[in-house]
Amino acid sequence: MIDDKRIDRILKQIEDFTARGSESLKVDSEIHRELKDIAVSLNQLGIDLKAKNARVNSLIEIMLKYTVMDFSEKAVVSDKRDEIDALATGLNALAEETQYAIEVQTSLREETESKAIQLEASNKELESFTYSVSHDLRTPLRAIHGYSQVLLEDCHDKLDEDCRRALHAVMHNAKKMGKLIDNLLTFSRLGRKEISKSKLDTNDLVRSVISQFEEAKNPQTEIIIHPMPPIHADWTLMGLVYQNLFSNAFKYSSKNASTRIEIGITDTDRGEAFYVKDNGVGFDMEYYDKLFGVFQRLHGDDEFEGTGVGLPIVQRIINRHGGSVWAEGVVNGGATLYFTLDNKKDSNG
Amino acid sequence: MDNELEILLVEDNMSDAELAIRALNKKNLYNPIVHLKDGSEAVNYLFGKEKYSDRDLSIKPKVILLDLKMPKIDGIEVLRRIKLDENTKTIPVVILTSSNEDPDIKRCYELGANSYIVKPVEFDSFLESVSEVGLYWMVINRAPK
Repeated sequence: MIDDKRIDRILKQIEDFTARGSESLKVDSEIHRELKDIAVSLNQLGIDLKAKNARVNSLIEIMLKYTVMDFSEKAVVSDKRDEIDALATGLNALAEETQYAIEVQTSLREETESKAIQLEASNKELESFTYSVSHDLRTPLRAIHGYSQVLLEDCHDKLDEDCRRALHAVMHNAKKMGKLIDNLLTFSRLGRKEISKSKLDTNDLVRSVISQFEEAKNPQTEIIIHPMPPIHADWTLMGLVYQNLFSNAFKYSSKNASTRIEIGITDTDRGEAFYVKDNGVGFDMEYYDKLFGVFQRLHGDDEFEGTGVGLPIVQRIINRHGGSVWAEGVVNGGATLYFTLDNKKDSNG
Repeated sequence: MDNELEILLVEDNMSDAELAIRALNKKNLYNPIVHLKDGSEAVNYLFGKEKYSDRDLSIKPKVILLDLKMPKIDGIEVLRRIKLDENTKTIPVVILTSSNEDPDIKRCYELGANSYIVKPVEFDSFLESVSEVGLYWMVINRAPK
């Protein structure tokens, strides 16, 4: 932009020029008059330029205020309807939109903050609820179990076989309810536990978990572990996943003459998926919906004992790893559990 | 056998208390056991206040089995007071509770608890836990003089 001082200098020169007579310029009067006309036009141009400069400067000032979020002043739009007015109108529109965007952002942030506070409060509430459940529900169970045992020990000879059997049933059920409470707590805690991911050797993980199942094995048990690629996941939680899957595989094939469990990775229509396959009793795909429901079971306790929390735990862990889990089963033809993990993260490192 | 107090059991649940005492007795730990019903009673007993103002404070329990969740003064507060007092801070304190919630465990150790045992539902396991704790602190552990 041309600054006002330069314009002033030119205006002064024009003024000096017009003050001079034709003699001093050594031109005839005709040319002198023409020169004077040009000088007057130039003078007017200079004055106009100064006025425009002033308007542009005021726009720049307002724009500078906008950059520090000061929207108190609006750009002045004159009745000239020239390019500076167009600029001023544009600037005003931009300011309005920016202000609106800031308002939206602020209200969103406030909403997020209040949601976070609410979430923290409900998490705290849930934690104290969990504490109460773990403490208060277990205490009476211990008494039920304990006094039943006292009766069995102290009054053994006074009780007939039926009474003893009834007491054993009481104890068995108290124990089972204890297990239900523990599993429910594990399940609820999984939603809040922080996940610490690292690169894991899946083969090591599977071998270390399967070693906990020595008791369930017999000479007819065949376990096949196909080599698997490393995963980016939480060791403890993925251990829990395999523990639950193996526990199911052993449990539901325990009535077979021989148990065969296969662990590996395979291509599926949902991408590469890890799987645990057994040759147990399987399940009817018609009841698939119940498979991952908390406390839902497809077998009676007299058939296979369980609390109905294993697969929901698996599902929750896999979901928290950004993956999905599904199953295939055939009645008396075995079951296969598949799961994927967040592939994007894996490939990026 | 001397008349020294051996085990102080602070437990508000009468069933748990009875089962715990039975467990200790079963392991032939016929040491004198004093059972107190809540935290405030434990504090009064340990520091010779109110109805225990005549108690000889030089007789210290060899181990305190302390329940966490009790009315009035809870186990954590009792533990804090025991570990703050010069006279009682060397007494081993074993936390016996139903809660297997992590923050409690951390808090108890921070306050100077010597063991933390989650009471299992099954009486046999409960019996095992309690009597093992009893045996350890009564027979194996060497208390500071």
